[in-house]
Amino acid sequence: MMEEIALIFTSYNIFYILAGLGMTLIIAVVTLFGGTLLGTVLALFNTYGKHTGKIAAVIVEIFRNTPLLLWVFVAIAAVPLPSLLSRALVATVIFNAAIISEIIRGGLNSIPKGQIEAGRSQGFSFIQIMIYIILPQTFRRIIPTLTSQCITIIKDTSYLAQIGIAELMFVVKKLMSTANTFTGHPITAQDVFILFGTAAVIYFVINFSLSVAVRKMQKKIDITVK
Amino acid sequence: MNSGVFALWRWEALWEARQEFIDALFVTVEVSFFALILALFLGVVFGLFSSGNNKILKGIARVYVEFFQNTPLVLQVLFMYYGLLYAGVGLTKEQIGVIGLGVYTGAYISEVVRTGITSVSYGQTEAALSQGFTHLQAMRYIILPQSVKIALPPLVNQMVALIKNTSVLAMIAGGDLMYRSNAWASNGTLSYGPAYLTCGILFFCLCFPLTYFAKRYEQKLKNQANSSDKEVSAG
Repeated sequence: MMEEIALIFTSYNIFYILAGLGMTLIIAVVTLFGGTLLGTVLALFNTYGKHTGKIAAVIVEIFRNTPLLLWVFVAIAAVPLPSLLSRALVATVIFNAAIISEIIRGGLNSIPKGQIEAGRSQGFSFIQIMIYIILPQTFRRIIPTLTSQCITIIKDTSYLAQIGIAELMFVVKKLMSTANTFTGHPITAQDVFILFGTAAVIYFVINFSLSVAVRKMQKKIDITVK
Repeated sequence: MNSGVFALWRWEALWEARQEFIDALFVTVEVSFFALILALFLGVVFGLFSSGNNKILKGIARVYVEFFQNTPLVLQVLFMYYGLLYAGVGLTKEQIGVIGLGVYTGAYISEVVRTGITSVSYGQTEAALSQGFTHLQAMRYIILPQSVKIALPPLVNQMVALIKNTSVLAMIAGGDLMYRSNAWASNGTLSYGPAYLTCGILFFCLCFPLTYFAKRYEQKLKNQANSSDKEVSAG
């Protein structure tokens, strides 16, 4: 087992895995921020718009009831952007925007309506009320849920291995399928175990830290509410 | 020939191949169904473990939940697929899908069950025990009926997630709806439009009734809670 580990983790392969991890994190960060930005717009339409609200609600339902991988495939076939990665990011951002907009909507509904009227009476415009009064409070309340969604986003980046984007899952899978070139013997279940096990540990460390943070934040919120 | 993404001849080609899509839909439904049964079983067992008093069982449940919730489903399924492949264990891709999805979703359902149980106050268990109920009887007659009500909406949402996650089978060429739609579209006529639209509509038809029900039921519970609050304050 130790020999096998030494054979597999050449410095080149370690670097390759780290590059894959970097790609995973880049995809996750772009998806989280893009999704939150677009999700906020969707949530505002959904909560305060009349006709636009219905359209936003339909968009949200469509994405909530279909798999991410479908949208990745659709984006690859239909989005007129140069690289595979940028097309895939369009899919992950829009898909997560729909999910995140539901989280934000829950937050928006928990803010008393009187605050909007109070803002109006002070001469704030609707957009000013949102930016200075409503959204800051909303985000403070939904940060734990949003962090949970971040875990989902990190896990879901692994779907992009299917379209050949060199993120962590793809990298590990590729190393596994070429393991015979650096171990010098045909691929064994042990190689699968070592490589996929490594990936599992990496994903776990990141996501578990986030989930511990979520629990801490929730406890804090529970205490302040009590 | 019209090369439009949704040109009529593309739809005709899809209609010719309809049996492929019907088979694929069947695989997706079948895998979802059996995975759900496995997930419910694991979820209830580990949910009871983690809401009970036994420290060891609690620990086991914690490890199970944390491991499967914090690593990607794709990794778990590929791990199992290639691991078994090179270990020479012959499982069909559908069986791998059922086990992979069942174990993964089970971790989420376990948390739903735990929250459901712990949200019913512990005083009720104590009251039941003081009346001579055994722990199991207290669970069966007092706690679980109330927990089910609270846990139902998130449980249904987990079912939806499970159905959507069957698309992970596409990554091991599993013959499910996502895989067949994509395979059919990328081979031959390149009719992505009709293939993906059909795939999306079928997934939507499977999932939307469930999300709709969950939303409605949750709203109903909320309204009930509000009106009982009013009654209390009025009385």
